[in-house]
Amino acid sequence: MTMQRSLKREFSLVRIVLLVLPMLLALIIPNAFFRDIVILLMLWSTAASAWNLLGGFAGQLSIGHTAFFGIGAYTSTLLYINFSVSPWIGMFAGALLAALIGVVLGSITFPLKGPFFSLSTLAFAEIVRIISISWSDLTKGSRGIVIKYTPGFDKFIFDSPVAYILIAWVFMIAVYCVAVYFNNSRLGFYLMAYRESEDAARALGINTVTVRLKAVAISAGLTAMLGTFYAQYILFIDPESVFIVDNSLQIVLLSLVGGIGTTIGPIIGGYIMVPLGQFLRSALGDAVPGFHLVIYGLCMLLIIMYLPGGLVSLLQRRSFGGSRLKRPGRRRDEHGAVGNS
Amino acid sequence: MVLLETRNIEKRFGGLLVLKNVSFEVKKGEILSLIGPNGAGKTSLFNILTGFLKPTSGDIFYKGRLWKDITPEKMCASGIARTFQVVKPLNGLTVLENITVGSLLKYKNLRQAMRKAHEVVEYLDLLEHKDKLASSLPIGLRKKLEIAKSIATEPELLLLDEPMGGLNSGEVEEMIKLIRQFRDNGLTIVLVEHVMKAVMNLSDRVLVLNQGVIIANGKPEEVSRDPAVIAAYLGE
Repeated sequence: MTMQRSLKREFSLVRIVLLVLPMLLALIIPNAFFRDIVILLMLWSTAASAWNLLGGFAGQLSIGHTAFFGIGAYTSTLLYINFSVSPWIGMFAGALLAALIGVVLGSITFPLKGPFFSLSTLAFAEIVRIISISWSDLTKGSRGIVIKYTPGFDKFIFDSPVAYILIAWVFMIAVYCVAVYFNNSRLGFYLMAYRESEDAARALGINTVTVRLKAVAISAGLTAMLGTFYAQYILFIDPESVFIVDNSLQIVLLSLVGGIGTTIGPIIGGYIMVPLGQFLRSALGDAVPGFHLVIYGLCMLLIIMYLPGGLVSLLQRRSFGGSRLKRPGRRRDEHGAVGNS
Repeated sequence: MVLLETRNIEKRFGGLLVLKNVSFEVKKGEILSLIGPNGAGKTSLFNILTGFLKPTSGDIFYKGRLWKDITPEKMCASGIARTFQVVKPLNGLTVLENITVGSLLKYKNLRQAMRKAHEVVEYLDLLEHKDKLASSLPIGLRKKLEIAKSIATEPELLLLDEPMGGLNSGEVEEMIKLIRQFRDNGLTIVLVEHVMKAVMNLSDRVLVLNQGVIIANGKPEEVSRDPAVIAAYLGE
């Protein structure tokens, strides 16, 4: 298998259609509600894909990514509100800050294994959330920050939804390209080697800490950029919307449902689960309180039970995609060892 | 030329002394076998030589240089590769991808690394299995894959931890042939093994460990007649 053949697979016709479809749908659909769903779908698919760089490729199951999302949202917003710094610049400042914090967090938490690492990331996200509520002089605490609606390209505020659609789509494609790079690069191979066996990876000369720090920096930085997009799209942020643990869980679950550790899986997870969640809330939200969440959870459970490799394994069964799509579904082989399919 | 030398290596796990004053040399181009009954300290010594364990005391010299703060990745980068007694394939990757992870050490470009991995696949006769997931391989092929990954790092010194374990007689023959080929191609090999047929056939020198102490060091035929070695294996 050469690199070109692998790249061909990553940009096959089916995948190109899948990647372009939401953008076209959002542009065509006249209904604002559906358009909003498609924009959010692209946002959360991209967030899942950014998380997957660390959680999927390296197997470091962070459930604290909402902290990076919030750091991005707050950094660009505070720079814009207080110093009139364009959110475009603020977005990169937020990404840099999140990447640095990610590296510091990783340096401390990477020695922890499995659930202990996950719990430490959850604790980190909660600490950041509590700080954002308590430090009200800077963040306005629970009252949140309203971004004044003054359209302009430099202000990252647009009167037409088309701009938001295109920006969300460009983000999604960019993060997909990063995932493709991971899947076909030395860094990606090293992360996958670490995920499969730390001892084997170290014996093959891999500095497993350095490669994971690179992954967390990239993953955190990209997630923070999405935080800026969210802030500029909604024009309001508060700790309960950008630092809440639900965001982290949503990101992880979309990846699981779509296919963890694959390039396209987390995006497909978002395509299915975000509209499903919105549809169930609008259809059943008024019936019995919380009933839509029960149905949502049930759907997720069924997908994970019957497609442990994620929805992406359906593509593989239909002989689209390629060998890499087989990878992430954990299963037991004939020797009893746990592996990926 | 001495490639690797240990001086007075000692290793304690709490009150348990597993290696005591272990000093030996590995000469370039030789096959040195490390044998001993279960629990003799062979794997602990392997782990110390490759940085997975830190010795309680003692020094390791590689190419005449004292090695301090050894880590597995540093050892591999400087030319010492190892396999594991309980093999550690990268289960979610294919055979070719497993080997590519090894070749990426010397070839930073993925395409070049894959080309090198392909050469290793052909050399070890794994071509028909190259696109199979490592988790789907039977034990014989897993052992081969373990060696293939190490070889792909292009080491000078290869430490093999029980490569014959679990293999049938045909596979043992094949593995013996392979290890001899490695040596003929210039590799230096340290072999931990229980299969005496392989040890006697392959080794230039045999080192016998018993309860953490070297009790014999010499040619295979000398060691096999050594009363201390016979006593260690069969009892007094």
